Amino acid sequence: MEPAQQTQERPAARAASVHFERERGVTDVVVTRGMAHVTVRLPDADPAAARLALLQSFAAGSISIFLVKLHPCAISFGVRANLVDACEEHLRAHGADFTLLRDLALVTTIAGAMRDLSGVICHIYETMLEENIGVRQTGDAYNAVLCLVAGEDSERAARALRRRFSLEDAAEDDTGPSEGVGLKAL
Amino acid sequence: MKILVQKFGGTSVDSEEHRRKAAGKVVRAAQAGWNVVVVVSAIGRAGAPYATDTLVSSLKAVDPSVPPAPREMDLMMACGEIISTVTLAQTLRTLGYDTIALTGGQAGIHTDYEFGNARILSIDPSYALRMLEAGKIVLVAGFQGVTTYGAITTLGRGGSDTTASALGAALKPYADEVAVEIYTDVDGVKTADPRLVPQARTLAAATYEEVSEMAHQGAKVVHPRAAEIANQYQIPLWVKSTFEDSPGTLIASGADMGEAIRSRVTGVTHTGKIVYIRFEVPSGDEEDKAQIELEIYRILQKEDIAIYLTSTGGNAFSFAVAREHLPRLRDLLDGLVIPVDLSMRRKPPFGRLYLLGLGGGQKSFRAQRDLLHHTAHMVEVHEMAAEVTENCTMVSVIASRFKGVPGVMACILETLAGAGVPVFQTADSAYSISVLVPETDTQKATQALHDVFDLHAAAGGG
Repeated sequence: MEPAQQTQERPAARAASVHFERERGVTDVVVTRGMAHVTVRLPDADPAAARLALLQSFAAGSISIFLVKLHPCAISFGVRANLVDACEEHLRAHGADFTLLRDLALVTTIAGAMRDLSGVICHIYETMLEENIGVRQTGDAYNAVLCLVAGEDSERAARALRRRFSLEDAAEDDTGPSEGVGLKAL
Repeated sequence: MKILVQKFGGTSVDSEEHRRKAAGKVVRAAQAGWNVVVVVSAIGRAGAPYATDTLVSSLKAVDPSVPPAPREMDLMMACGEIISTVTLAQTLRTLGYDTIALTGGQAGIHTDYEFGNARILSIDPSYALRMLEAGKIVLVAGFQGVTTYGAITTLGRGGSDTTASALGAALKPYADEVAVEIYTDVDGVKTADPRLVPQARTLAAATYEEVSEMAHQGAKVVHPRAAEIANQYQIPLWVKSTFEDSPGTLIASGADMGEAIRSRVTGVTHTGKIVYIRFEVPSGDEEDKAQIELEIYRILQKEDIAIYLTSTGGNAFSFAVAREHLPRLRDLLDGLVIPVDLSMRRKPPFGRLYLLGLGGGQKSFRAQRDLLHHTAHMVEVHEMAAEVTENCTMVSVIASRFKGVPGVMACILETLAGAGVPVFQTADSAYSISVLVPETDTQKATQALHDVFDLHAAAGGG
């Protein structure tokens, strides 16, 4: 068989129509509502032991948490809406000194290789400050930066971030982050 | 037509003996009825005559004060892969096989114009296919492509793995069966770095997501770009040893694997020499904190310093940077004065000045403090000395499905406390939980977490 004929028989090599690698930079901004943020103040005497005991009690009570951050004399974390009441009850039962903020939303900025991008977090902070939106907590994974903001501000935050990263066409999604984005119960 | 893409890393082709072993893998595949495309990395590692680092050094050595143009740098770097590709092709020819060696461009790999870190835009596999149909073994120089106007580009980190995966994806529509094999000097994807955990086990199978996460979190087997492409095009990816005949690790979709693999802890990785920095705003003003945080991030952005492990809350914020950036960070931030809410249109104080300190002698900090002392009647001056934790590393537990399982963080912290390893900060993503620990405890932390999740024992065929 002649090479030319072979080429005709196989599917045409449409090189330009195939995308092999994900786009550079920020590719999406996703909002997940119904979050709460909890800060538990720990005793000065042995905060590490108190922190561990608290996490163990959550595990025993089947309360999943995420965005866990350690502070010198405190621990903070996020809780999904369906577990907020149980979490609050649990903390009260354990006599914890805590602050619980309800009706928050997680605004997730997604990029392929966040740790190779030096300016994404800066742009996110600039945007939030310009929009006068307070960020309760942040987190980052290799593919996402997470900002916990007031639920009522979340859509405005997402719109502003989409503008900032030229993603105006990206569809808003209220169903929660897709697989691979940094939100998980621990 | 069955097409097998085999990729050989630098250590697989760095001597005649190793090239013969690599050639043996190619021959065996050809004899088994595969049409073989071979992707080759540059010969050897840093110091070897044609290794990428050696070529870069030789170009820079012409005059260290004049940086080479990125385009010419790519042209130079691409030579390493071309030399190894032609050499391996000749090795196969001496064994009686008909071969053709191609540059990335000749293999139809088109990229964007980002020299040094180009992205593959498209692949036209027509010529490679014609050569396969003509019965040749096609060897392609990894790590490189070509722009629309013919300039040679390199693909950056993991470039040859990416070439192999992308070629597999490009050839898939023309084949009855396609697989990609990544050959290296280890026998597959391990549950941990065997230098730290001697009992680390080779995984028989892993999902694309697991391997991608492991790679992002420090494991050095397959580059995540390659795993992502293989995932997108659902191409089975094997990691195998050039020097052994062990079966290796199959990387495929979770849907093709058993429940035991889909819901397991996969491994423990470690990455980076990290410095962790925490600032506390003494005035306790959260709006001031947001302004200061932003100013610091702006400065780091201008200097192209990536930050991660960010945390903010109350009157404090913290972040991590690669340790190599610490001296520059000290130059930039130590003694920096950030004005907040400054206005001369009112009675004193006219606003607030925050003076940053970042350890390391704090010469600039002290000098600025002395100068600002004279302005204390006009503005509020607040000193903000950072808490700098040097010599940290990030240890990560990788899992295919932790969602909704409470207690994993507790288990990790409990284990590390039991091993006497302090944890400075944590981070969580969809497939991993990471802890920032002292670098000196890397081995202890990795071993303890490997033990607690029972990773030395094979489970579910994994």
